[in-house]
Amino acid sequence: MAMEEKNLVDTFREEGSSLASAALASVTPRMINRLGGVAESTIAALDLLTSPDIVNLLNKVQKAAPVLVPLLDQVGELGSGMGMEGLAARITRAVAVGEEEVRRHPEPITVGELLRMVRKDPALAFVLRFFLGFVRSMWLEPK
Amino acid sequence: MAKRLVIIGAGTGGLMAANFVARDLNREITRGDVSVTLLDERDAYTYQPGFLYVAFDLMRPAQIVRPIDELLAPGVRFVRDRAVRVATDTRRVELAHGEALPYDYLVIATGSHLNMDEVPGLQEGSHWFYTMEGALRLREALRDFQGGRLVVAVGVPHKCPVAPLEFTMMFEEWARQRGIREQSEIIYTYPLGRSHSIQAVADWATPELEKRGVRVETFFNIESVEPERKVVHSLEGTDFDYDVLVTIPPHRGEELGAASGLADSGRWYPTDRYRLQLEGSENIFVLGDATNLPVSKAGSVAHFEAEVLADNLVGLLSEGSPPGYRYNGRAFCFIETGLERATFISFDYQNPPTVPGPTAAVHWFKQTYNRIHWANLKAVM
Repeated sequence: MAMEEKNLVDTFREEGSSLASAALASVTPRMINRLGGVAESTIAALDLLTSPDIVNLLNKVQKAAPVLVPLLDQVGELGSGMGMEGLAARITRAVAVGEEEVRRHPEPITVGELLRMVRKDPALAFVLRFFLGFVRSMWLEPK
Repeated sequence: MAKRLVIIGAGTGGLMAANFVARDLNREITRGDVSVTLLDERDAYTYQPGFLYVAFDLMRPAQIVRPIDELLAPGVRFVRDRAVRVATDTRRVELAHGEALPYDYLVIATGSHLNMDEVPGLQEGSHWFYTMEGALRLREALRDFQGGRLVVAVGVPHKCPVAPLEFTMMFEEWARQRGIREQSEIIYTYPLGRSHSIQAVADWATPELEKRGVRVETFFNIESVEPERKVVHSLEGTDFDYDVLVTIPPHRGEELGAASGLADSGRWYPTDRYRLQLEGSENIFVLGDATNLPVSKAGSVAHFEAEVLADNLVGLLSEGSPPGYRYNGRAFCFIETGLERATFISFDYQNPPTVPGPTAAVHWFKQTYNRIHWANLKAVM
């Protein structure tokens, strides 16, 4: 093994070993239990997110995204001009557009398709992040 | 009637104990069989190890402060008030606003606090990084520092025992990076006859400091500071002129212990070293810096103690079983050895620490921990 390569391996070994030692010295059984709980919650959340109902909902949200995103941007302007009636009209229109789109594309999307859409569509990514934040706050971290 | 747990102090130990118990006894709390109340006069929690980074402009204040109500597990009731006295005969915590909280089990986690009055001139003449205000003032002083003599002086007792070494080593590298190391003299003083209270740390630190050109002055107990002349005096008779004086002010416990007649002269609570009960009491426990235990006053100690205490409290509150879990004196401290490398020490009542060689991986582990500490506090991780 060349000297430089050997040094690199030694450095990695030393860094890795120190990290493992520090992790072992700082961790507690309770932390392991809690990490197990987090992993379980994450898997349960993924199960929830990939359930047909949620995928259908996401499908609707995706179709409505072009209308919902500007709507969300304007929520902050409520007090300064748009008013509740304007907001209600926009919500109605957004949902109607979403439902119409869903009627035209009745097949639920797969998670893979959803991820591809998210990558291509910043508006959908925004809505999805909003939705995941909602799920997290309401379900994973109930108050 | 619900069994009532009251925890005084929403620092690391108090928050963790409340959250651990609440998560374990979620059903009992929902049914109304158990209540968990956390009491503190502050409405925000500050991650105190972050002060070191704030002083060097490596973290922003907002990164180390969170509202307490965002850190509570479901089921924990937060009362914002100050405990003025613990009445053990009636099992009540008397509050500054006049009311009282009755308890069946009480946890005192009131921490340790700077005792600036102990050293004349300390407040006016020195900098410190043990409060947000102090860290920000030191940050300003470091931003203006163009070279000169920096003196580090350590009061006892104090929390986070390796912090003075970390500050010194970080400052040395920081000065080199800014190109002012040649114009800077660094003097590290320590009150004992070696560079740190833990022998293994002293054995490692002294040559490390000397290798970096830091002068080490032992047996230096701060007696007074003359702000106008910029001189710090020691009880041993050594004096140093300084351009910037960074001190670790001596600490003491909260007033509550003295007012309740439960603490010793340093305001520390006499505590059973294994079960963390207040000596002479079955239903009062003490946690973290507030104890008189021969362990470091550090966040990790409060964390490890909180886990043991929570297990015992869960048994008491749910089944009435006596405390069976024992704290073994476990402590863990990262040691930043500059701006890019770190090491750590881990020890307990039986096993003294060793100091492994610093690495970049441990430094980044520490940086990661600084940012995920919240999940630990919330008992999510």
